[in-house]
Amino acid sequence: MNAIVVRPIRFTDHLEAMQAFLETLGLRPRILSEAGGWVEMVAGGGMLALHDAASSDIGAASGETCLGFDVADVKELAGRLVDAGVDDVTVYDEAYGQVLRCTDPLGETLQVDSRDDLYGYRVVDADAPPAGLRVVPIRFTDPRGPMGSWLETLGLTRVVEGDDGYVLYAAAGGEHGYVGLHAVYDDDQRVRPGRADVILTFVTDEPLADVAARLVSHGFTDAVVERGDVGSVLTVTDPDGQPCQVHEVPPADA
Amino acid sequence: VNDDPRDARPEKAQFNVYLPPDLIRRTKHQAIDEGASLSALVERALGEYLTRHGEATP
Repeated sequence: MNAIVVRPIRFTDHLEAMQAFLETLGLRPRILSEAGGWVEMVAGGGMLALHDAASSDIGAASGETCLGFDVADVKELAGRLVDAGVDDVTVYDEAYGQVLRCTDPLGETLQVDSRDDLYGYRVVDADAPPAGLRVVPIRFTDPRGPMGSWLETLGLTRVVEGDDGYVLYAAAGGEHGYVGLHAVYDDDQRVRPGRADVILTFVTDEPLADVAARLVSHGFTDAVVERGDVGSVLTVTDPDGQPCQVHEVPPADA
Repeated sequence: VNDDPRDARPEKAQFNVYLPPDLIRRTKHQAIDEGASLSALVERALGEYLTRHGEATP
């Protein structure tokens, strides 16, 4: 089994505040760098990594989010990508394991990690996160464009096709997180630093009003639940000043 | 104007070699201790070795 896990990376100048924000949502820390600058958080489905922006070797700006994944065997995944026609797949060693890098259909570098060494890291024995809380990074691009088949090559499956503007892909049926593809609107383009056009969103089976109340009580006072075209959505500004949304569990997962 | 720092990174090429597993492990752990990427540590180590011992004449 070489199931891929959705694990976007948020580059941040406010790592501790972002960790506290995500813990308020319900995520839990799992692996922390003893030197600081890296925290892996787990949700009930999928993960999220926080990376100190100042030590980013790609020059990422604080508040920038990029798609990322974790998999047990990067070489097997590399073979699948090569078979699908991806021509710049490289696998190399990093201090913590192995890395697969290649260019996605939109010209961004995709990184998939496989950790096999915890030296210099601390595993946190935290309570399990809520099973119904799942990570859903949303990439802004034509949802009918090439990113969809690319995600399917990675091992995700299309589960929700709400309208022409949004398609949702699941990793292991959502147990390893989701990736959304969303049409680009002018309002969406104003808010995000970096080139990857990704925002952090989540789905949960917890009542959104309860999540919003918890956020407000922890100082995230602009958290609000609104009824939209596709159900209720909680919106809140995270410590990096970026918009974050929490949606109800998608229909295919309910 | 494209001022994205990622477009100004120096070109790198992959360099595969065979090494004893224990040396690989020690090198990886040294990179962790120094807060460096594995590539950056190996680049620095090789550069320092070549400086100390004299580079081969092309």
